[in-house]
Amino acid sequence: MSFFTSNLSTYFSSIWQTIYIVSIALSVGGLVGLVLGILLYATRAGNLLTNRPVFLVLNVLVNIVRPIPFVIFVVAVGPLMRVAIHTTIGNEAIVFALALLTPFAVARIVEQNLVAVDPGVVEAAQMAGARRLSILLTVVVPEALGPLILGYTFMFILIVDASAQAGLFGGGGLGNYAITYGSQRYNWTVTYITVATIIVIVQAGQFFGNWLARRALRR
Amino acid sequence: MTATSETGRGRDSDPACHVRLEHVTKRFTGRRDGDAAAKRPAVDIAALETGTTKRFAETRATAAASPAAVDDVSLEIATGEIFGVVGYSGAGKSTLVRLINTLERPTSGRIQVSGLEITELNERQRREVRREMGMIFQHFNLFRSRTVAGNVAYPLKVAGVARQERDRRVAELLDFVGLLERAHDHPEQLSGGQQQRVGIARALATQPALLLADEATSALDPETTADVLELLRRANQEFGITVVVVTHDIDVIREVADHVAVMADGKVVESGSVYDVFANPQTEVAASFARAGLQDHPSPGTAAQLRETHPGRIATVTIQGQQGVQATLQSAFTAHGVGAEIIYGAVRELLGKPVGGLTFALTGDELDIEAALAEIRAAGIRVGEGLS
Repeated sequence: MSFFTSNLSTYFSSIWQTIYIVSIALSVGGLVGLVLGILLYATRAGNLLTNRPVFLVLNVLVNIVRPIPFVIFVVAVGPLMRVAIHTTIGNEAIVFALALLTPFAVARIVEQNLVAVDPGVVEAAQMAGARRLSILLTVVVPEALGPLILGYTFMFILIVDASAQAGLFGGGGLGNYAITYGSQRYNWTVTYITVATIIVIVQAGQFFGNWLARRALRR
Repeated sequence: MTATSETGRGRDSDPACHVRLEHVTKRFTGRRDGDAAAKRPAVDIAALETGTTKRFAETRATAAASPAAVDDVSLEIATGEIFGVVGYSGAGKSTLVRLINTLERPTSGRIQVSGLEITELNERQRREVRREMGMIFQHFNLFRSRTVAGNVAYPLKVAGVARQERDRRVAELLDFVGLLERAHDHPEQLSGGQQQRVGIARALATQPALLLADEATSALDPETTADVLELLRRANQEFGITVVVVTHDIDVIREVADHVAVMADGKVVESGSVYDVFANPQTEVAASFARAGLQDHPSPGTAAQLRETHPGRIATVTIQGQQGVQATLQSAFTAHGVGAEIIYGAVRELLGKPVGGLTFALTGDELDIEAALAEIRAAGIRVGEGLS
C-alpha cells in the first residue's frame, strides 16, 4: 500500500497539527468563553451582578459573532490578524481565528448551563455571607460542572470540525491532508484513513468528556 | 455543644437577636424581580408571590399602583423566641423573610436586627449581617457539588475559619443533627429529612443569632417534620437562637412557636401569642388557621353529614383555656335532664391550657335545653348554635 510507504510522516504530522490547532483554540477560547459565559449569566436581570448595559452588549455581541461561518470569519478578521500576528495564512492564522471565534460559542453554552443552576443554591451561598464573585466561582460553576464538561466536549468536536478547513488558508492538519493527498490524488485509501482518524479523535474526545462528566455528576 | 461551652457561641455576653420591623412595605416593580421570579422553581412560594405581583408591575406607570407583596408590616420579634409567620400562598411570608435576611430591600419602612438598621446597609455590610443569620429552605438548597461535610463547612470557609477548627465544628454540627456518619456522602444520597438536617447544620455553622426557616418542613412528611421541628426547638433552647418560622402549615406553628403573626395579602392581620391566636382569633383568616390547627370543627362535608345523622338541636362549645369545662357541661346537662352526645370535636393543650371545641347533639325538651345552655354561658363558656 502506497499510503504506508510514501505518506506516513506527513500523516502523523497532520494529526499533530490538528491536535495543536484544536488544543490551543479550545483552551484559549474555552477560558475566555468561560469568563464571557459567567458574565452573561451573572449580569442577567435578577442575578448576582445584574447589569443591564453589560448584559445587552455581551448578548448582542455573542448573537452577532457566533453564527458567522468559520471560513468567512477567517477572511473577515484578516486585517486584525495582519496587525496582531503579521500573517493571514497558515496554522497560526487558523489558531488565531479559532481562538477568537470559539469564546462566543462557548459563552452561550456556559451561560445556558449556569442558568439551569437552582437559584436557591445561590441564595444559600448568599446567606452564608459569601461574596458574589466567590459564589460564581465556588458555587455556581461547580454546581453546573457536569453539564459544562459535556458542553466543552461538544465544543471540542465543533473545533475539530472547523480545523479541517485550515487547508483553505494554507494551514495543515487532517483536513488539509485528506484533500491534498487523498481527494486531489484520487487516493481513496488516504481519504478514508483520514476520515477514520478524525472519527477516532472525536470519539476519544467524546468518551473522555462523558467519563469526566459522569464523575462530576457521580452517576 | 451548649451556649456556655468554650467551643460554643462566641458572644455569650451578647444577647441573641431581636428583630423589629416598622411599617415595612415591599413593592416589586420593573422587570428585575419578575425575571428573578421566573427562574425560581415553579413550586416556590416566593415565586408565586413575586410572580403575582409582576403582572401588575410590568410598566413603571402602573408600578405605584401595584399591590405590595409586604404591606405596611410592623412586627417585634423578641430575643430567644420562636416566632411563627403563617399565611396562605401569596400572603407575602417569603418576601418578609427575604426582607429580614437582606436579600431584598424594602420599598419603605425600617428593619432592625439586634438594633442595627439593616435597610441602610451597603452590599458588604449586608454580607456581614447575613453571617449572623442562618437560613433553611423549603427545598433544602444544598450544594450538590459538595459532600454533606462540605455543605456544612461552606459558611465556615466563607467566614475564614481555619481548616482544623472548621473540621471540628463540622463534626460537632453533624453530631448535633445526627448525621455524623454521613459526612462524606453527597446530598442526593440522603432522604429529604436528612437533607434538611444538613441544611440546619449548615445554617447553624457560623453560630448565628437568628435562624430563618422558610417553609422548612413543607416538603417533608409528618414524621420527618417532627424531627426537623425538634431540631429547631433544640437550636433555640440550647444556643438561645431567635428563630423565625415561616409556614402555611398551622401545625408547625402550634408545635414550636411562641408568638405568631398571621399574614394575608401582604399584611399582618393578627399577631400575638400562639395561644391567643388559636383560642380567640379575631380575624377570619386567623380563625380558619386555628380551625385547621385544632381540627375541632368539622369540614363542610362532614358538617353536612353530621346534620343528616343528627337532625335535632346541635350546639358547639368553645374551650378557650378554662379549666373544668367538662364538669360544668356535665352538671348543666344533667340538672336540666338534657341528653348530650359528643358528635365532633377536639381539645388540645396549648402552653398548658386546653383549647378546642366540642359539638353536641342535644336531646330533650326545648326549654330544658335553653336553660342548660344558659347555665353554661353563665359560667363564661362560649356556646354556639350548630356546628361552629
